[in-house]
Amino acid sequence: MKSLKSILAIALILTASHLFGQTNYVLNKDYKLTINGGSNLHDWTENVEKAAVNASVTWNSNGTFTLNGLTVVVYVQSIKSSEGGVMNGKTYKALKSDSYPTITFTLTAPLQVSQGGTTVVATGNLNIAGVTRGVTIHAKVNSTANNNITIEGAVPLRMSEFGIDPPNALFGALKVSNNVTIQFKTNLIKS
Amino acid sequence: MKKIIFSGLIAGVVLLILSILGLYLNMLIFPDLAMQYFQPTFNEQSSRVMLYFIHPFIIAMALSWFWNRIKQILKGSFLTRGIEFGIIYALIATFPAMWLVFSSITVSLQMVATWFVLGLIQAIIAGLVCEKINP
Repeated sequence: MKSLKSILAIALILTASHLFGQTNYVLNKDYKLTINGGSNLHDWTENVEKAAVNASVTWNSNGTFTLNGLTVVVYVQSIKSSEGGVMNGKTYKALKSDSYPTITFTLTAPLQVSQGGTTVVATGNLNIAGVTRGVTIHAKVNSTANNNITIEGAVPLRMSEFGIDPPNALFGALKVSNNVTIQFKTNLIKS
Repeated sequence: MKKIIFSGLIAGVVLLILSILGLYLNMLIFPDLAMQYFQPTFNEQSSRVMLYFIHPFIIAMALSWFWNRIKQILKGSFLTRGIEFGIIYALIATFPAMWLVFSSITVSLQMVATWFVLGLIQAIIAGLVCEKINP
């Protein structure tokens, strides 16, 4: 009886999704997600090697679409530094990866995207190291061939806003800057 | 005794300034080496960091006592005696200590070499200060 209910529920969700024209999207492998920061020694970059995106989109007949929901998950231990393994360890420790293995972003308001793409102001909740903050992101959203969607932009952040102490070394003489920028260039494809 | 303590304190202040300058010089001259201090071996965000800034006074007091014991056997000019004192200390104490550190902890040879040079410079400067105050 339980399994019958589950099947009915799934069927209802699928039907409703189809009726309202929602399409689910996931992240294509060709994404680029970097964290750029500085220190009083030199600038540094970290690349995210494992991330996941789930998005739901409603397409309109005139080619415009609405991004109804978007969730981004970044796996902290897949972040690799340009400075090598030494900085990776500091990054994981600063981001408290043992307790909080992922960084997540959830869109909180739908986005209307006009035909041919547009620059949008997205609002959402960003969770880093167990602390959630509301953020506003300026991003370029575009639709490409096969109704794929590209999203490109940057998010400036302060580590301290998420309860993160910027790493330091050499008895405090070498300090990592509190300000970082997350840059992203993603290609979403139908799931 | 008063001279040993006084020259130790003055040398301690001088070595503290030198140690702080040394941190920034390290970053300027050896930026890649400075990055190695991000290794987990160096627990920078613990309360023990403050001990680093006390070490110049520990070493200066020891060197002041050592100077007082061997100053009679050091011959030559002001500079020669100070340098010789530094070399003696570095060879007897710093070099074997660095040898042990390199053999037991995962740190680069370059890093250990800079610690040896720092120990040598500290001893020479402490020697010169002690020589000035307690000739």
